[in-house]
Amino acid sequence: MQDKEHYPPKILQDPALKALTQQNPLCADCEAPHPDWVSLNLGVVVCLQCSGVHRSLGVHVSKIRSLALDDVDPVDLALVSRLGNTRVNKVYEYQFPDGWRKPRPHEDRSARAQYIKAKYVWKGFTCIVSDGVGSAAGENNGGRSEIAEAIDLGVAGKAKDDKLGNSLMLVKAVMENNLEGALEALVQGADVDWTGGTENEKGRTPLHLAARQGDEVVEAVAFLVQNGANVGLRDRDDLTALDLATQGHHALTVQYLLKF
Amino acid sequence: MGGLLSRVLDTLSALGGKQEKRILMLGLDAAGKTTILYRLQLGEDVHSIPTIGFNVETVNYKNICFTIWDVGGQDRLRKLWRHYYKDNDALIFVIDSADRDRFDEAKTELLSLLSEHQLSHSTILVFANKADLPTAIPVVEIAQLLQLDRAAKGRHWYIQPSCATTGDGLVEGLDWLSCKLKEAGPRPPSSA
Repeated sequence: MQDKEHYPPKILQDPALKALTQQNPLCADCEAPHPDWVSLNLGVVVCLQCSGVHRSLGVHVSKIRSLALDDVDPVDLALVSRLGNTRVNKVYEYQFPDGWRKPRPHEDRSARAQYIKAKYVWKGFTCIVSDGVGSAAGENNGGRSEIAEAIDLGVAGKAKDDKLGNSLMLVKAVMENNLEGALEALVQGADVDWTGGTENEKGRTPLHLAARQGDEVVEAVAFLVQNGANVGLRDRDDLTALDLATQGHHALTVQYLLKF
Repeated sequence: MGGLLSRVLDTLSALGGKQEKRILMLGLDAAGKTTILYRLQLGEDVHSIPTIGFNVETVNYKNICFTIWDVGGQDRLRKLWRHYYKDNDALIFVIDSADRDRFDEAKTELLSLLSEHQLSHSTILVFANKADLPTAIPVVEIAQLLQLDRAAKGRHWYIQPSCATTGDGLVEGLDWLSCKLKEAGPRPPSSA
């Protein structure tokens, strides 16, 4: 009932938008109540003030849309809904180095901007290094979330913390439409267009594989595209992700990929 | 305003004093319109938040007083753009050069504006903004993709790379605009 005062009818009358705002009652960055701006690639819901900072960082960092003023693609909306503030913050706010804390809802622009930049650009609060010297935080597995641990990489443990391991983790997560695992893999340094892997003789990227998999992983397709996957790449059969989705008659995936 | 009176006033101001020009600034959300507006007006980076509605400011440059309307660019706000079309001397269209995914969307909006009758006398300045970002589409490529020689045939248009946060390119754009607008003189009275 109370929400009526805070959200416009467009949000309240749309079940998907309403559910998204209910799942994310506070801004992912400053915890201001009733946020209605989303970042399509980061999968968070933020307030107007924080959205201003996100926009200033460029679309390679955050792609901001308004739930109230934009007509967000339902697939992108589903992607944000599958991630959401709680899950994303488990990765991006894994730990706070001394002296850092979340900004408060009424904090001025510069404190807010510094925090948001540290969080998403420098990835300073994740479990990967925040001291700028190589990758140390993974020691004792103390730095990795349970999700990352739970994912069976299928390769020797030595590969675990490097690009290969993370890229394998990305592929695995994407095929299961596990966006939290995919996010974790990207943050850890996975290559979004990785074509390695022993069973990947066709040279397919994670996007190829997800698009071929089917509409049940369409949110993973959206996640990869919004996070910089190259839609135009061709596999060794000269096929793009869109070609593979078309061959598989995955209508939703085709429709989504056609936008790019 | 009465057509005759405004023409007389425009002619008088063109002869001696300051000219007044009305500029409409449009573009997709987060292209940098508000940052451009306040960079031009205040000479600083204002750290904007999304514009819900519009901002309007006057900017004095080379004996021209520009009244610049900066209108929000989200999907729903774009449907309101038409209310600002009337009586403009120029249209500034701002593109985020680094947002490759939405370049086609920006182009479609620009082409649709070019076909608007009420904007048919407007001079067209395109700011290829955020040109400083490493992922930005080079301005040469933007020019090829927009094909304004065809779409804006018979009118004055120019594409200027810019970086609104530092101000790079903005004065060059305004410079071009003021030259073209001085040549053009007062705008024809609106037919509506």
